[in-house]
Amino acid sequence: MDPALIVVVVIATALIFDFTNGFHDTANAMATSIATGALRPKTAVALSAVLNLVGAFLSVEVAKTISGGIVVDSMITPAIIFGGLVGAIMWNLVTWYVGLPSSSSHALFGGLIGAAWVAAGTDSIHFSKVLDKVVVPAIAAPLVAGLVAMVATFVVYRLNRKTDPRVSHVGFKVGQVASASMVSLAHGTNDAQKTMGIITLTLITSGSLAPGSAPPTWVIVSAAVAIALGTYLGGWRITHTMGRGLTTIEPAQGFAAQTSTAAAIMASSHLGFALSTTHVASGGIMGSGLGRNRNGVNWGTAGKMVLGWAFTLPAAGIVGALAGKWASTGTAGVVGVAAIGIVVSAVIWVLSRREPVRPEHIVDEVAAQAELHKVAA
Amino acid sequence: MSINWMALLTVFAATLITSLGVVVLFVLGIRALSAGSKPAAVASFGACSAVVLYGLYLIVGG
Repeated sequence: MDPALIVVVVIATALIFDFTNGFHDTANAMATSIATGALRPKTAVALSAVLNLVGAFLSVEVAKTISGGIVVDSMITPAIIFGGLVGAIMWNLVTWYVGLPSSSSHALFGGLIGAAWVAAGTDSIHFSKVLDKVVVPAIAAPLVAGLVAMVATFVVYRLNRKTDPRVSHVGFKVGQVASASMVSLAHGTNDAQKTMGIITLTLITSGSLAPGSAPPTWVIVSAAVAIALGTYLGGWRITHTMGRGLTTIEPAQGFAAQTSTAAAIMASSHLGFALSTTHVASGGIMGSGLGRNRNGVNWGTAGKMVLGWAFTLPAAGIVGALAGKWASTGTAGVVGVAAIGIVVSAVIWVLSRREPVRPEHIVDEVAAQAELHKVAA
Repeated sequence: MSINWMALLTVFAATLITSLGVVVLFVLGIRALSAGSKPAAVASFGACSAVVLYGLYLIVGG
């Protein structure tokens, strides 16, 4: 296959991945604001999209981690990256359909590592870098966000005891929208970077860029736009799980949880840790549930989520390995992988249309829940 | 296999300090508002925004 053509195919696929990432992750930033009624779903999603776009321009550290550290660029080809991407997209779509807040980032790393491992051998992966910049942050960041959210929530409730409930209710709703905006911005600084990193890596492996290059401007712009579009168009299904299933959220608590989440993600982005924003957001929500009330977390749902997380890397890795191996055999392989990817995506899309979860449904349930909180407060 | 524990510690410390700073300043602002003290509220919310903006400045500045 023409090398230039395959690079174009990989870039297009990477941008589709970026789109599904935005689609998948709207929930992280906006779930709590929607759940407490601080923002209407459509407004929340539009705000999140714009801030993701801005966030993508703020930092390129995570992009550099991906393009220059995880795999040995001289040993892999654009076709292998293509296989890894298809693996990641498949996993993202399946978890989206089931409503599981799994991590788009881990799907991407799993897919890429699986594809490189099988198609180019063990030596093509920098395992120590993977451990340092991906695996350890994957475990540490949600714990950090959870712990900090727990302390922050405790402090907020403590200091807020004697305030006028009407003033604090309105105040925290505003604070919640502000902190949700910071989470969206943080999301752009970490997740949009992953696609930039992949595209940059593709350009390096095809010889268009020198090894170690930073992402070119057109890559930054296109990744930013793709994630913003995805954010705008997606996410009702998962917002549903995150806003309701995990713990009941009040505005003050949502504010504390999101502030901790945004701070944890931005600090990590700055150091080039490619972490899962989904996991950090979930850690923040759980921690704040505990900070408010010792029984504030639904451990059953939380356990299921953690299990889903543990699955993501290997599952996307296996799909990525199969797709990468096949795609690296030549043109027929690339076309075959693309065809299967398109068919699976189409099937999931059709299935999801059968029982759509629309914004209106969420509003009704959320409104009912917000009423409960008013009575409780 | 080298894990950069220092970097992890930095993330933890930065997260803890900025989150607590923002959250405490914000609640103090709300307390001041509900006590009817406008200047104190403005000062608290202003300081809170300043912490956020400084954090962003650090990230953008590289």
